[in-house]
Amino acid sequence: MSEIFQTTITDPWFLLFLAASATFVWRALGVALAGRIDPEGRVFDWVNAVAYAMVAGLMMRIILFPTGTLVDAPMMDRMISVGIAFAVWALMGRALLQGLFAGVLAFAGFTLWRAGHLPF
Amino acid sequence: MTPGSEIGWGESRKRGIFDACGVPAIALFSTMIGFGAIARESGFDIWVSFATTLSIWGMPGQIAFAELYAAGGGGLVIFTAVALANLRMLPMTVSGLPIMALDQHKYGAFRRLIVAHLLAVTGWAQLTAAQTRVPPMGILPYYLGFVAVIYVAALCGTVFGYYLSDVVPPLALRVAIFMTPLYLMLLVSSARQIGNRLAVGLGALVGPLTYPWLGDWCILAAGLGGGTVAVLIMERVRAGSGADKSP
Repeated sequence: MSEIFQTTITDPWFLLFLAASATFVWRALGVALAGRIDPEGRVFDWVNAVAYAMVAGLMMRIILFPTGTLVDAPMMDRMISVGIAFAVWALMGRALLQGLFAGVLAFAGFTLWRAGHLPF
Repeated sequence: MTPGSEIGWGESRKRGIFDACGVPAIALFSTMIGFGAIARESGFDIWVSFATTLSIWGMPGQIAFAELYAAGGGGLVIFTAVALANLRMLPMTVSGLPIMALDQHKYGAFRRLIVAHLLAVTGWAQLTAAQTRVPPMGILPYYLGFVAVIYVAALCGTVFGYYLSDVVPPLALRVAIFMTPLYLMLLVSSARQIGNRLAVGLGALVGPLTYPWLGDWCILAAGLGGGTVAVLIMERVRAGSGADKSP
């Protein structure tokens, strides 16, 4: 088993097989456990917290240390846009869509401004 | 008998399809545009991108897969990160499947696995609404109709997003790619339980702070570290408030 993980195979189909399996095990385990354990119990509190923290960590890593086209946007632009998104989200009572809209609008504004498409 | 309790399989499924056409289908289509664009940027071809949505069917895991592939992550880091990103499939399946009365529908193991594979956050959240829309035996066909629509919408969004850079200028593509992590960040921050929101805050700090040392293993540090600390803090708070109330 450990050889599978340690090989330097970079074939996307093989890695997709690993990624899809990593998702499917939880669903299969859920089928086996459904109706037998309490989804509000302590173990699931921890499971949920780990999943939430992990997604948050990954998204902040993508925003602050991107690998693709976001590299070309200055760190400051990305951070301020996220800040604006969260400010609107919080001020409007955890309004997801409004926060997202404000953050994307801010980022679009920065992008256009840096490219010289805005008149100031 | 309450009115409408005699509606059959076909009518329940029709209601599920109807309820999915609108905000849910548009939301899945739009977020998967972001995934399709990121997938192309990561170096996937269209088939791998399409198959990723088809076989993972969980946005955070898909993004983790594409991002780590682009960063040159090996099998172990990809497997572990996707498993952690999609860990919430387990509690969702455990709490969601009993609502659909699969025993009464005489569903065997294979069909149960298909039902579970189609279950992701949007369909799962809709199960609560389904209970008010159709009688108990109608929830399964309602759900199948609902997820069929959003699954197809998501696959269309993936393909559209993949080819987005051919039709929009690079700056617009950059904004579209920025949208996806921001959306998921806001989504997890809007968690109902305060403990999960605390976990989000800790994970958002630990991830980027440990990235310079750990590389992409920082995601696991954020998840396991942030999540565990959040649960411990919540237990302390709960124990504290409990002790205050007792005489």
